[in-house]
Amino acid sequence: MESVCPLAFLAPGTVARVAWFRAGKGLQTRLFGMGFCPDVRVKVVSADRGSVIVSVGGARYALSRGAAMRVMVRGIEESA
Amino acid sequence: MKREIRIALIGNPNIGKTTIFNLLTGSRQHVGNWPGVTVEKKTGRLSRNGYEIEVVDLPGTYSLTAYSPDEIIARDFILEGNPDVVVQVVDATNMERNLYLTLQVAELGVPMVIALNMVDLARAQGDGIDHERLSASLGIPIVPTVGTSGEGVDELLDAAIRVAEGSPNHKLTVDYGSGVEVMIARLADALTTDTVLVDRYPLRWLAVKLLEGDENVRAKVCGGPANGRVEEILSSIDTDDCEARMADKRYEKIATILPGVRKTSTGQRVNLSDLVDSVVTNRYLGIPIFLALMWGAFELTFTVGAPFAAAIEAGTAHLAELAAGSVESTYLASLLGDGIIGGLGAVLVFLPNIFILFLVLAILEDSGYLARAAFVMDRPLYALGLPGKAFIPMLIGFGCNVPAIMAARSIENENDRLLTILANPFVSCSARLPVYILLAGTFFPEHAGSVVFFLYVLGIAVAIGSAKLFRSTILPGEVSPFVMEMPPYHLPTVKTTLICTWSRGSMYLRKAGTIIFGGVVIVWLLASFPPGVEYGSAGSLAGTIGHLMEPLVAPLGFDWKIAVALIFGFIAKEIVVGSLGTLYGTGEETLPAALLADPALSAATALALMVFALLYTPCAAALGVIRKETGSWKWTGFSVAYGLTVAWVLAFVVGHVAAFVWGA
Amino acid sequence: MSMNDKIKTIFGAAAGALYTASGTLQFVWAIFGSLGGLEVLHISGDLFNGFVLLVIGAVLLTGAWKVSTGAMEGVSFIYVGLFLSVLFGAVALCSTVAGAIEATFFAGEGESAWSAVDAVSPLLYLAATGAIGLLAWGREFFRGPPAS
Repeated sequence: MESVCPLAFLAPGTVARVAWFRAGKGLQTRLFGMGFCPDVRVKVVSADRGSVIVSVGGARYALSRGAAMRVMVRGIEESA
Repeated sequence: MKREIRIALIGNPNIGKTTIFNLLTGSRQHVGNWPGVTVEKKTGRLSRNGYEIEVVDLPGTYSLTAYSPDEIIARDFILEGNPDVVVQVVDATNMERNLYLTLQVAELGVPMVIALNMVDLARAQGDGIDHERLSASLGIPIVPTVGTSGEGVDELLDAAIRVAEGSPNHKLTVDYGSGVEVMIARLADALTTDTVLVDRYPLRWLAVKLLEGDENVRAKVCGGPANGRVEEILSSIDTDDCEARMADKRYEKIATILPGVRKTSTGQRVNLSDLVDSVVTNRYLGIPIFLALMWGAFELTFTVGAPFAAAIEAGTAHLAELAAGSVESTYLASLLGDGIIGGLGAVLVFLPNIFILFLVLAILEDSGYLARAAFVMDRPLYALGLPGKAFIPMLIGFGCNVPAIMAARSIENENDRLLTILANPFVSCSARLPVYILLAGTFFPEHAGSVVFFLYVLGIAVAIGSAKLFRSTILPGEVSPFVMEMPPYHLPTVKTTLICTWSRGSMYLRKAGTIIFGGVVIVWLLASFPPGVEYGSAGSLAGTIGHLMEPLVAPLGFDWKIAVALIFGFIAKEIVVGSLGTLYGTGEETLPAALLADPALSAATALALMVFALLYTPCAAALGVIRKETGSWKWTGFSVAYGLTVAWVLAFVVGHVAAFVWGA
Repeated sequence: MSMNDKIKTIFGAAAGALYTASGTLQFVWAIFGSLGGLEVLHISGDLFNGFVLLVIGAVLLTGAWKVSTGAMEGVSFIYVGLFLSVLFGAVALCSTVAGAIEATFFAGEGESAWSAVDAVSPLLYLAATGAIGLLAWGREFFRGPPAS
C-alpha cells in the first residue's frame, strides 16, 4: 500500500501525484477546475511551514497550509 | 440588411480574455490578476461585414460548476442569454486546464469558436500547437491570436460570424465511462417528465450536473415532476466520488487529444518566475520585502502627488476668487465661492494622491507581484481571522473605501467577504486626511506626522480588531483555505495598468462629482438659511441642528459646531474641514487660528475628534457600496451603528486619557 | 563556482553591507541624534527609510551568504536585491524631483528654501550599486540559468 500524505509536508523539488482531497465541495471543485485532479502530477516549487507553491500542468498555484493539508498525494519522488 | 449577432466571451482568469475583449470592442475594461474581479458582465458593440455584433465578456472561470457566483453568471448567460456563439479564449501555455473548461462549455451544447491566445508565449516556451489538428479533434474552429499585438482578432470575428450563421455545430462530448454513463441515461430518462426543464436546458448536461452534485441544477429539478425519481437515483450514489471520476475522465480525454497536437520542447527549463518567487516568498524576507514595497507606494503617493495637489489648490483658489468677484448677488457669490468651488476644491486636491496610489497598485498587480504578496500576507492575516485576499481591499482602502469594498468581490467565501467589507471602512481613506492635517497641524505642530501615523495605525488596528470580534461572534467559522494562481511575472503593460487605475480612480471622481457636490450645496444651504442669518452661525439651520445634537457629543468635549461638521461629514468626510470653516466663520487660512482660539477645543479634544472622524460610520458613498455588495440593509445599518459606537467609545477614551496625561 | 559567480557574490555582499550599514545608521541617528559627521552621508533619521535600506541589505547579504555556503539559488537573491536597489532608487528620485517642483512653483511664504542637497538620501545614491550590477548581469538573468 503506497504511502499517502498531505501536500503540505512535501519539500521543494518533490514531485508527486494527487490522490484525493479531504475538503468540502467548494474547495474540491475549485481545485478540480485548476487542474488538481486525481493522478495529476504536482511539483512543489517552494514550501514554507506547510504553505506551498506548486506547479501543475504548466501553471503555478499557491496554497495556504490549510489548503495544502487537504490535498493528499501519493507516489512521492524526492528530488536528488 | 443588418443581422445582429451576440457573442459570449468566456475563458480562464488571467489569460488575456479581457485584452481580447478590448480589442474586439474598443471599450474599457479592467484586467486583473485576481479571479473574480470582473464579476460584472461587460458588454461592447462593433460592426463587421454588415453585422451588428454585441460581445458579452463573461467572468473568468476555471469551470462551470455552481460554486461561485462567477461560474453561475457565466453558465446562466450561455444557457439563457441567447448568445449566437460562445468564443472561448484559451491560453496556449496551459492547454490542460483551459481545455477542461472547453469540455464543460461544449456540454452546454452551444456553437463555439476557440481563440488560441498567447501562441507567441507558448512558442517561446518551446510548445508548438497544431491548431488545425486540434480543431479537427474537437470539431470546433480554432483561431490563433496574440492579444498583446492584436493578431488574429479579425479572423476570430469572421469565424464567430460564420459559426453564428449556422455552420454545423460541434458534437464534442466526454465519455464518462460505463458506470457513470448508465447513471446519466437513467437520470436523463427520469428528467424527460419535466418538460419545462427539458425545453430550456440540454438533457445530458442536466444529468451530468446532477451527478456532480450541482446544487443549482438540483434546485431547478426540485419542485418539478421529475424530482421524485431523480432523488431516488441520486440517493444511491456518492456525488463527490462521481464528480472526481468525471473530472478524471475529462482530463483523460484531454490527455489523449493533446499529444497529437502539441509538440513540447525537451528538457526542463528552470522557470524565471520561480527563482524570483523563492526570494519574494522567502519565509523571513517575504513580509519585509512587501512592507518595503508598500512604503515605496505610499512615499510615491505623497511626494509625487504633492506638486499636483498644490497646483489644484492654487487653481481652485483663483477660480473661487474669480467667480465670487464676477457675480453680483452675494448669495450666489457665496454659493459659488465658498460652497461649490471651495468644497469641490477640497475634494479634488486628493485626486492626484488617489490616482498615484491606484497606479502603483495596478503596476504591482499587473506585474504579477500582488498575487505573491497575497500569499505572503495570508499567514499573518489568517492568524487574525482574515482571509489572505482581504489585504488588497485594505490597501485600496487607503485611497478610497468605495473601490476597496468592491475589490472584496474576489473573496469567494461569503462570510470572509462580509468580514472584509465590514472591517474595511476603518482603514483611513484619503478623505479623512484633511481633518488630520488641519487638527494635527494646528494642535500638534511639531508632531503632526507622528499623530497622523498613529491614526493610520489605529485605523488598521480597529479594522483587524473588529474582524476578530466579528469572527468570534456574529460571523463564526474557519477562514477559507487560500488557493490562488500565481501568474508568471511579466512587465506591466501600459494600457492595462492605466485602464485599471482609471477604473478605480474614476469611482472616486464619480463620488466627488455627485455626492460631494450635492453635499456641499446642502451644507451651504443649511448654513445660509433662514434668510438674513449670518452665514454659518448658531442661528442658521445648520446651527440649530448642531445644538440639537450637542448633548450627544458633549461628553467627548465637542460643541455644536463640531457636531454639525461631523453630521455633514457623514455625506463625505472631505466636507468636514469645509464645514468647520463655514461654522467658525473663517476661510481656510484663518481656520487654524480660530480653532486654537476656541476655549472648548483643547489638544486632547482635537485628538478625540480625529479619532472620531477616523472611525465613525462610513461615508454615504461607502454605505451605498456596502449595501450593493452585501445586498442587505441589515449589514449596512450595522456598519453605521457599529462605527458610531466604536468611534464614540474610543474618542471618549482617547480624549480623556490624553487630557489626563497632559494635565489639561 | 565560476569566477563570474564569485564576482557577483562579492559584489552582492559589498552592496549588502553598504545598505545594511546605512539602514542601521538611520536608526542610530533617530535614537541618538547626529554623531559627528553623519550629515555627510545624508542620513536623515527617517525610520522608514532605514527599514527599507535594511531590507535591501538583508536580501543582498542573504544571497551572498547562500552562495558562499554552496546554495546556488542565492544568486537569485542577489539579482532581486540589485533590482530592489534600482527600484527604490527610482522612488527616491521621483520624490526628489517632485519635491523640487513643489518648492520651485508652489512654495508658500515663510517656508525654508529647498535645496537639492536636502533631498539626497542613501536610497538614492546607493542605487548606483544596483544599477552597476544590473548593467553587468541583467541580460544574463533574463536569459535564465542554464538548463539543469
